[in-house]
Amino acid sequence: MPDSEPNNPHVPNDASLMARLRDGDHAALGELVRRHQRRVLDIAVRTLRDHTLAEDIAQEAFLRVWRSAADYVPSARFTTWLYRIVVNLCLDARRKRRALLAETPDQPDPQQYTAEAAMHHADRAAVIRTALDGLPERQRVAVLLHKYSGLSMREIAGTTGWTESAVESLLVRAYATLRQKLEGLDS
Amino acid sequence: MLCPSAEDLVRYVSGEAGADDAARVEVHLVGCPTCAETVAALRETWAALDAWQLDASGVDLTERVLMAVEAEEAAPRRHRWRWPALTRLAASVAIAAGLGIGAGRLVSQSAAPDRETAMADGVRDEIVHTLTSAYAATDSATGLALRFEPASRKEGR
Repeated sequence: MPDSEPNNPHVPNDASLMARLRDGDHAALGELVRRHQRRVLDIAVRTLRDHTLAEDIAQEAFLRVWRSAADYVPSARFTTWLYRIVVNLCLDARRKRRALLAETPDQPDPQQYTAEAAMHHADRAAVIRTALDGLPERQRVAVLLHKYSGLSMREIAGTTGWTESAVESLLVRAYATLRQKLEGLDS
Repeated sequence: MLCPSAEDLVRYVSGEAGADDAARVEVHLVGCPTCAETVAALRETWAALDAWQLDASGVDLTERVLMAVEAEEAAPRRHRWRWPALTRLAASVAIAAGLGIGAGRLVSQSAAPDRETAMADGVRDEIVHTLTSAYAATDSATGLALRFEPASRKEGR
């Protein structure tokens, strides 16, 4: 997925949009949303598997951007900061959902959706989702950001706050596990 | 030839490796069936993961986000508790007194030189004097009369 920040020098970059937002220009926020919402939603939907919740999380992430505009210092890429907000909100939402599901055992936990059930539905995407669900949380987040959001290992480190060597290690282990789980699945 | 690390092979398959690193891996793969097999398996896994596609292109959150911003701006701001001026003054004096007395105790407990102990005692005495003395003056900016009487003196009337 390509970066959504334009290279055209006549189009304002993210940092200048943040500067305008700091001065109260709501149109700048609108432009940031239009520019980055697709990636933000992609991360949220893949992490949460719930479109409605993902849209709420995406909205909250952009609201936090607006609320923090006055304190924003463009020391890192805007997207690194934005994705960090999104990932943290998603992980928090997952934890809350897990806690809620633990209190109401009658509700099926989507994370417990078995590989067998997915195979039964002959849905390759479901098999992949199931395989990803079986990964430990940090490995899963690393793969989602690496494979589907197109972030480099360094960018993942910046987004999650983990070290780059930790990200490397997480990805190597995750892809090895996925290799076993997806063996035989036609690509 | 030394094999590339597992991390380097992931970088190579994902397209993250630089041109030079990618060229080195490719040269290595020609003569190393083990790494070639690892790369083939990684490529297979990488391609298989492509089967999970999402399309969020039909969703536009712009209006929704801007409406939420406007709603938040229009909402009454949280009531900030306004301390009466005299309460603020009293709180400041109390904090200063606490700090002064605490500092005095700290200094006296730590076998400090007599001069420092005397200074701390002086600060404490000054604060105690301020809290127990009547005070009257005129604010030069507003012309208002400022007056303070200790509670004990009022009670004694």
